[in-house]
Amino acid sequence: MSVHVYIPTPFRRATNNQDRVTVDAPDVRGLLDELEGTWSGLRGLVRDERGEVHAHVNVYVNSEAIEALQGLATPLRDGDEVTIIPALAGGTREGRGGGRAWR
Amino acid sequence: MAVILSSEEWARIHAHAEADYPSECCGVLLTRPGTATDRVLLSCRNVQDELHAKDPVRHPRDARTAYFIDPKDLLAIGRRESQGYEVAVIYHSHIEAGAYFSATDRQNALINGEPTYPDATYVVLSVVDRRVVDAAAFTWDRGQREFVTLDFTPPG
Repeated sequence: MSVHVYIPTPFRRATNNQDRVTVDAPDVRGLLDELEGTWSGLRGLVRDERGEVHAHVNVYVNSEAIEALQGLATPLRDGDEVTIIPALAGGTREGRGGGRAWR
Repeated sequence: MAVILSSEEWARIHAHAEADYPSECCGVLLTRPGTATDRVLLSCRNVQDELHAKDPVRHPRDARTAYFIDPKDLLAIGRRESQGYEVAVIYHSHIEAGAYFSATDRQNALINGEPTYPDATYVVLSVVDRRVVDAAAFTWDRGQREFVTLDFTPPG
């Protein structure tokens, strides 16, 4: 089950700057196990200590987020493409101050 | 500092911030290193309202005080990165609030204490009464290991 994985810039420090790797795994959980086994620096970046994907990380199989599939149990087929991307999020602090005029 | 946004890019971001009021807007500018003109501005969709509606405990804020870039847009960003583009600017707006890098912005810009995009510039726009009234830029300082304010004047 040869699957292509795209490693985004923020995680490449853990993969010796490799941006694409090929992994043999039956499902997404197995794929992450395999990646973390190869690059220990990925541990904690993608999944938490319970083995769940962090809320601020998105995993896609062929452009479909795994939440919409079967999560970590999503099966993988030969030639599938898996993409791992950190979320981009933020927001105002609570008890907001007012805006100011252009400086 | 170097010009990080062209006049046209700034005009689009400015318009996006006012159009999405009273929700926070969000987007990114991707550039290809070594090229001056290879730039793609992606105006993204803020899905914070949907997250809040689905799980208000995990996502207590709505889009008026938070942003979360649509996973579909994240995938588009990843695709561009795989073509050699880099995330140069990440922008969002604050509604009825100042143009500062909030504790939430900082927290979400780090993964395990390390900056997610250490070379990107974060641009925050202040939108008050439907109008952009201020903007500021921030980036990670490797020496200080902290986000610092950049001198930012919106291009005319």
